[in-house]
Amino acid sequence: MNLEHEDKWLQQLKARLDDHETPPDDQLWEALVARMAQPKPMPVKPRLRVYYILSGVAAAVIAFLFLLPIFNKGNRNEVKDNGNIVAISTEPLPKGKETMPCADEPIQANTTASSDVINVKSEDLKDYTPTGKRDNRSGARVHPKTTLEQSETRSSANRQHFDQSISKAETNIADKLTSTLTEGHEDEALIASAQTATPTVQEAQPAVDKRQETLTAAERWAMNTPQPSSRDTREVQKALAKQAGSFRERIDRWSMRTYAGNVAYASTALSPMSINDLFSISSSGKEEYLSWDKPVLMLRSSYDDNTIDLDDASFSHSSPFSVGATFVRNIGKGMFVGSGLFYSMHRSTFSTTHRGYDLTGKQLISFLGVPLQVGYNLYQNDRFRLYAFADGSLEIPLQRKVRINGNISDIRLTNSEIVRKEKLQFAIGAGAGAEVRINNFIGFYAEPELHYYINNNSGINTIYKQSPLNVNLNFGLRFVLD
Amino acid sequence: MIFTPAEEKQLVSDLHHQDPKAMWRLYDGYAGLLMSTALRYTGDYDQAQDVLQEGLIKIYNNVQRFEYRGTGTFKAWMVRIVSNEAIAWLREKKRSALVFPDYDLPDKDTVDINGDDPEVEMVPNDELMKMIGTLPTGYRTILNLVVFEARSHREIAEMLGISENTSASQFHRAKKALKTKILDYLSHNQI
Repeated sequence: MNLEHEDKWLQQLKARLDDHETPPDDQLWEALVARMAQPKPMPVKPRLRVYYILSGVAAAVIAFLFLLPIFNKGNRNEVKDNGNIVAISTEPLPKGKETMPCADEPIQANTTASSDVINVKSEDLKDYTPTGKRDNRSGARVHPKTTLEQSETRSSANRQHFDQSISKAETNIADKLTSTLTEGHEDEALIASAQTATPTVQEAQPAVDKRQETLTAAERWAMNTPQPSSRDTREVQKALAKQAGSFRERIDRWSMRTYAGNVAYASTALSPMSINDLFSISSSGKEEYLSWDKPVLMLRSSYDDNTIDLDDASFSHSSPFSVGATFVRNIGKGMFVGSGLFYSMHRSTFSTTHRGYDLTGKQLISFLGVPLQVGYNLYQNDRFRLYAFADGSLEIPLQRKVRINGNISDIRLTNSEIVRKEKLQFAIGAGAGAEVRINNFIGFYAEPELHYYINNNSGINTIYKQSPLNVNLNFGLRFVLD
Repeated sequence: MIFTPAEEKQLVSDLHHQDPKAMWRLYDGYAGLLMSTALRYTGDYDQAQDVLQEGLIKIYNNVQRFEYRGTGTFKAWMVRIVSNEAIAWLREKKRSALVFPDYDLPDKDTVDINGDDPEVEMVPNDELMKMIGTLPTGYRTILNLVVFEARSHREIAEMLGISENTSASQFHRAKKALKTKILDYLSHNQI
């Protein structure tokens, strides 16, 4: 294109700058040689988008957590099958079979008229079974060959002591059976307390002498004890936990948390938000954006005539508002893991100049996030829980809307676009939470959390860019799923 | 560094024969010029250097395909590669910082585009570079394409995916904005 006659000054400009040189950095040549020395990348299949991979990982984690109870259940069934007491007989054992059966081995059914079949796990009777030690390799219990004749020589004092031990052991068995029948979980505190109360081998040695009586007692208890109510179970467990001297681990394994949250204090300003700021997006702000005259996609070229560059605009960011749901699983030892989805909305205002006009506007960006959380219960009882956690999250930008208000009457500048190639946002965080349980199934919690948003070199100006370190406050409900 | 036609032809021949020393001669002779080209597009030194690095790698990797056709052709070929690289970079990096309103604001500034030409000769080259660098991205890009690469508005429209009218309008505004800056500079320095 030939510059027009009246653009003579542009011709002069071209002449001045055509051969103008700007020396590059001294390190550029070395960097260039290093780049050239690298082998040329082989053409490879397009890699999966990072967020597909991470979403897959999150889905796999969730699936694993769901399947874990099934595997555990299978293991428990196996033990149960091996340890089920099919029947307990009140008949005297035949001569030569005086050795008390191992608690881990099924006692064969004796189908006499006096026998009653009960479905009691022998595992739960192991504390009751007073004899022997477990073989470390086989796991089978080894019993001393105590005979009836030997037992007859015991003194009456020993018998009295044994009776007390048996009574104590029965109480523990009853408690544990209650727990097992109602909850189906092994609780370390329960086991610890039950074992504390179990008579030692020496104390219980006369059990062989009294095996008929003890079996009868167990049978009598098993037949006469009614199925405990849930409330009874909780009370029993609470008592046992107190007896064990430690806080009982929460027995619900699966829960779902729904929450809403906001950044209560941004690290840059450290000033509290007003209620209006907190909820403006979900109320009037949303309606305002929906009422745009032409909320159409305008993915024009960046060199279009009416492009406004916000790169140098002055931004003021409000705290993001988010809602979400997370599935949490207790994995034992007071620890839990969780993952789910959340949706967050970011609102910003900005001011800039364009063609001599002072412009102000609003920017609204929405993200879909996938969190992954690991936590530990610091303290808990039936009604209250304190915990700490660390998490990481991936946020996928979904949409950005910009509304510009010019100081010119009757002019409304709008823009709305689906963010297609915007970069993902990663964050790491740590925090603590407190939960108050409303009833057996619902709890209310609040979680202050410190989040650090990793710079993704995005061109979009968000609070993550301006203030990577943020304090979040999430609050919500937790529903027990099992 | 200015190459004579014979030196430039020899340089291209050496590059065709993959002479390692020729790579350094090319860098030593043209890096400053190409850096200046990249800087006119990006307006930022560090970003211009990134563009230059990518551009030089493309030049080295594609020089075998270049056919020498006379004085100045090699330089023009390299400048075009770097400017294309700069445009690609701008498309990628700047896209998310731009909004595209559905109404085109009129110009508020009152500079008379048809008034006296500014005395460009009175302004140092570095200042002119800064003035171009501070133009809005769209203005700066089209000004570079029209003035320094002699592209027509039709070519620009095809290259950038915009209409010819838009390209012409952007160029008009770019001229006016740059003229304002030059006049302001001359006025401020009482030249």
